[in-house]
Amino acid sequence: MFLQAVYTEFIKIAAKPRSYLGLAAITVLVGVILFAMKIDGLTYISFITAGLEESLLFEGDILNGNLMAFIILQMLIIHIPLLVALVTGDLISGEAAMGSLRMLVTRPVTRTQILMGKFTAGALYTLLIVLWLGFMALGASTWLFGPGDLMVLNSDGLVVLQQGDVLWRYLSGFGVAYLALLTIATLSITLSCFSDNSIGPIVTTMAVIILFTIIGTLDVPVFDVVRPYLFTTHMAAWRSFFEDPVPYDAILQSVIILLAHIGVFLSVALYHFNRKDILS
Amino acid sequence: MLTQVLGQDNPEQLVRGVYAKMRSVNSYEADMRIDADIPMLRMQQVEGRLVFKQPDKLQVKSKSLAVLPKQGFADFAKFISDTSAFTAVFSGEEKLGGVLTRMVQVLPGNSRGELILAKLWIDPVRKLVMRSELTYRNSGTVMVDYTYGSQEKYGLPDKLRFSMDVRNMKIPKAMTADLHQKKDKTDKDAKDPNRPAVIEVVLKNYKVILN
Repeated sequence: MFLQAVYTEFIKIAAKPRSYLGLAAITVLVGVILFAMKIDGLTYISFITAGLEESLLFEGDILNGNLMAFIILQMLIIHIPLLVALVTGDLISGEAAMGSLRMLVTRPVTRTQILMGKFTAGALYTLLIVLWLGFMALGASTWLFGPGDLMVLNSDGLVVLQQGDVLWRYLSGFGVAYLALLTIATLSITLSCFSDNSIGPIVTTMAVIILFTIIGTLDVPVFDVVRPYLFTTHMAAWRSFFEDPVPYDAILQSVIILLAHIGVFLSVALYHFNRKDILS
Repeated sequence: MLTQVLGQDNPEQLVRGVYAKMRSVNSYEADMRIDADIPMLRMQQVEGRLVFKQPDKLQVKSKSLAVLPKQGFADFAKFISDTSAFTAVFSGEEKLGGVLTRMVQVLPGNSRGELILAKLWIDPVRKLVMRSELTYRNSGTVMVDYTYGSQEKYGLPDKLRFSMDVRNMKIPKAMTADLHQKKDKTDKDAKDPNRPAVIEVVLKNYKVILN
């Protein structure tokens, strides 16, 4: 019964044109970045390495598929939450707006099963977005630029990772990035339970992300206490897999905090949805 | 007395003797291993093959991204190849790793060149450069320590240790999307970002083609 509910919800997602916006946006954005880098990538790279290149000589292709994939990921991972929230923020409130939520809860499934079905379908959609992003970033970049060692740009310097040491980092990084996006999806589903229109939860989700990002970025002591617990602080945890040595403790902490957020958001959603007076 | 023991009175002749040894090799190839400790750049050990052809054609064949000093490798041999293009003067003696060396300061005749001063620590007996300190107009000073082994007779080192200053990079956080990463300022293991860059190149399995 639960699997049937998940299947039905996923079909509903697949039937909405907006669900393809995310995939299309990723395709276009990656295409634009790859085109720009193919034409002018060396200028972009030399902006960073110019200081070192006064004294050092880099032998080999710095501008390769692995670096391109990294640049694409760090550029897009900030914008992907909007593409996710666009679909998941509509899962409950969209039904309420269309008037089909009332009919949905009259079916012989519990409200918990309905919500968990929507959550699982949303999680699958998020996974699809991450997989497509991974395919476009890594697959298309490697096809266009070829393989090579990865030069990671960190704010405290550069880290060069050898080609054979990169794929597992990408796979692990995508795993943590997925968890971060799933947190966004869960937040928007939770907000969706409180709303009867589609726009509200989507805009509110983005507003929360912007607010938390600003709090996280502002280097003032007053936010030091809350900063480590904001989910936005841990949304870039995927990058940690590209450090040498890998800070596993910090990654584990980020994973725990993201999972805790998912748990809390989901609990609030279940509590509210089970007691919601559905009038439309 | 000491100079007689060391066997050379003329600094230019000494430099010429060093170059003659280097010049006996037309080209060579060797397996190389690069260990780099560079501020703001962390990289793993790189292995590859070094190919050199006189006078200054240097090529690195590696599947990995390799970092080498821009100067102080092949340009040095080219610089000392023309003895009429520089003036050499003795500036003392120093013991390096148990070897008594003569210090020679080499000033290029062309004041507009990139290399403005070379200081060489030469083993006058074996006619080997044990250390060089090359000062460039735009990229500062590169110090190179040489260790010899199997190819000593050709003046080819088994190990080179480059030490130089590199300009620090400023990478905007927006460019790295590293917005929330805050490094622990009290990290005692963190290395000094202003330390000189050190690159160690170990060469083995030489394939030498003589002139």
